[in-house]
Amino acid sequence: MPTLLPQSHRLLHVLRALSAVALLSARAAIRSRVVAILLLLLAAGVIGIPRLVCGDGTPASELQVRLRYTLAFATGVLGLATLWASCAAFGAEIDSRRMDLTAVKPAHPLTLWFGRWLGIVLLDALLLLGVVAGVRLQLGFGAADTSRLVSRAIARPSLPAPEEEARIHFAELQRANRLPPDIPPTEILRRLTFESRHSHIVLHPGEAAFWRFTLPRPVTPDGRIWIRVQFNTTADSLVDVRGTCRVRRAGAAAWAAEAKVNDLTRNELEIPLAAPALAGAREIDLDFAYQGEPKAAALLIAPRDSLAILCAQGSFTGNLVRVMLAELAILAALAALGLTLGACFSFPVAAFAATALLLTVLAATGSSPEILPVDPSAGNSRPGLPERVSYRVVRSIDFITRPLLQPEPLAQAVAGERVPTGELTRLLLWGGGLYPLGLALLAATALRRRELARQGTGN
Amino acid sequence: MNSPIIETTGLCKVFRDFWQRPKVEAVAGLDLQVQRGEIFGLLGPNGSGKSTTIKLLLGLLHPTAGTIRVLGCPPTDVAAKARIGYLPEVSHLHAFLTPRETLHYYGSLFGLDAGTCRERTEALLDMVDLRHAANRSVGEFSKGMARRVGLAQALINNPDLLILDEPTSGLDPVACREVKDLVRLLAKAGKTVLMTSHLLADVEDVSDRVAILHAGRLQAEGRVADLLRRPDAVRFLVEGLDAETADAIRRDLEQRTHHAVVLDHPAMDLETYFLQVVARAAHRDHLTTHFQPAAFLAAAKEKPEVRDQKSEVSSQQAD
Repeated sequence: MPTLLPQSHRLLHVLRALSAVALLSARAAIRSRVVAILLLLLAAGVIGIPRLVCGDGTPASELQVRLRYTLAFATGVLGLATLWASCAAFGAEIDSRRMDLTAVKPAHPLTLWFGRWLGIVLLDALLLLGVVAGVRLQLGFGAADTSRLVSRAIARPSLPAPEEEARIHFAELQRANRLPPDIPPTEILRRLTFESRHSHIVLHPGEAAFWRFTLPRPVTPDGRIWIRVQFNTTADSLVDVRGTCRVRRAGAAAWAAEAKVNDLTRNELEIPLAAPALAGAREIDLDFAYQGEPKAAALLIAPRDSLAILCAQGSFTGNLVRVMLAELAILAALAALGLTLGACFSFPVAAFAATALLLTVLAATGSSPEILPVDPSAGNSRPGLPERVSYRVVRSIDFITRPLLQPEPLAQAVAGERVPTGELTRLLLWGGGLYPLGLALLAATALRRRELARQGTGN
Repeated sequence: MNSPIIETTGLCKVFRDFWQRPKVEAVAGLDLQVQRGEIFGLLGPNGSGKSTTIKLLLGLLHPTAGTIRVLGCPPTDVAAKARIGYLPEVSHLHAFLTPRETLHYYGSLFGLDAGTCRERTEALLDMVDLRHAANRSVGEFSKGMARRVGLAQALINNPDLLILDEPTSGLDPVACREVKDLVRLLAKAGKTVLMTSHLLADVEDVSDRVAILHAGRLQAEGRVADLLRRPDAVRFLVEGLDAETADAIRRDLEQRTHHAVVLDHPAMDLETYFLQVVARAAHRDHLTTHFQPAAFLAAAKEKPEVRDQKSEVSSQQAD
């Protein structure tokens, strides 16, 4: 006569239940033809988008279309499918009373939740892997220029932290008694930090600038590095940027390599350099001399945001896998959100709330101001209540979603930047760990408190 | 003294509307005790609170007032749930799963290891005679077939307490009889069964005790025999009595008691007659019908009582 497992095997018991629920989730998706439809949609996206969307003919644009648009489309489709499927996993189950049979079994609500989540995330992983493999194959066989299929570590100039600069500036203003009286000091400090973070230098023709970089890893033996300069100009049109870029080991007397810049561009330069003398170097000095016509437009360079030295690290395919994992972390968080909404509300309400939340987050993330905007023409430096409330709401949403949405792995991969291990770990920790755990606890509480069988169901 | 398997004290359930205003009092002050090894029937008209009581016992609804102990624990206790088998009124199975997958799934939720799960699944598939359809989706099944899968899943954990909500709903008479036989066998094996049914004959056939609910309140409770017995009347059953003798006895009884005496020929009930016809037809066609003799049933298989055709005399005292 079979008996239930003894207390000491409770973990085994939980794992059996977990795997059974995960398998049920996967079977539900596969046999309801959701997966078949998704496969068709994703295949259409991977094959169709590079053929339908035209870039401007440059290799960068081609990579943008083949990689960014395709993967963004796939993530979008999978994201919506994940959100709705996860809402249905509990919402529709409870509505249709199928949950009754499961709820009376000795499985903890957390086991049911994590089983469902695991099933959905594993399906997502498989589908995403298929998409990434398809994109990689297309890039390998169809790309005109494979020189952009690189993975590089990125280093920003070694500058004082914006917070530190802001504190110094704040102290100076305080000493000079020039702090605005009607703005709280914390708000002033936040604004000064914002200004410091986005501060730029203005480089007129004939002027030069110098920065020091600490690379995350030593330069490879072939000494290949790339210098990336993004800038704004005082002109509205393309700028003929002429100048000289020089690099050397930090503090060395002689420059290791020099590159002439002569490019008609709107706002970005990427200069490849081969300097074997830099092999193994971790600290590099960069000197840029702007040598345009005296009447040429000035360059506005924000070093913290838009100046970088890149050095080869890892493979492009490896970086694509990192991007996939990062996107999977977002899908995992969406699955967690949908499951919890489904545990709290009926399926239609959960699906509506999930979609509304998603749109709100996307809108807030796209327009989230770092500081509360002030209208100088209003004559009052303190914004009104509606502005303050909406600012707080948007900032709160940004605060909650920042760990998942702020780094843009896809944009990094398109730019040939390796998704840093730290960023990836953080994404996986939040999307695959902390968010799901918090939402699972919320869902378990809801499932325990909620009356799964209601009156008026005909029995 | 053994503690009851199910015990409710002052159980109340009030359903509220969106604004939390009381809407319906589905169960009102229900005191109920079900003892170990007992088959307990819960009866009542539609809306009397039977299903609500069952959902309260299973933790699917929360009581507004009162206490519930199931197997000595609150209804939401995981340890208690591990010993309960539940068949809802409508099976609510996953339509995309096959019966075999369904039983595996619910077995896994009980923590059964793969071997045990497989073994019990096969035995239950045999028991409910669904082996031939074990790889078809439950969504393709008739109501009766789905009901059998529901019954099998209720037994996958070899429960100590079986809660059956309308267990014979959707089943044909042969399957109904088999379910009732199964319920009796489970009770003989020491299991406790709580069942509801609109079909009073079903409950009467198998229950040791019944409770009758109306408007959420307990109206009557007790052993079936005690509730149905009429101490004010006597019935004689005599075989092979000719009409003349029977009439003489009737007249004699009337003279002695000064009450009317009813003389009739007892009839078989339709269920028994139907089962006999089907059994004869199956025997003729060399077919078996419905539930197959399964290993765990065969051990304690018991033939149900079939009333024979006899002359029956009953004497009723006038009030």
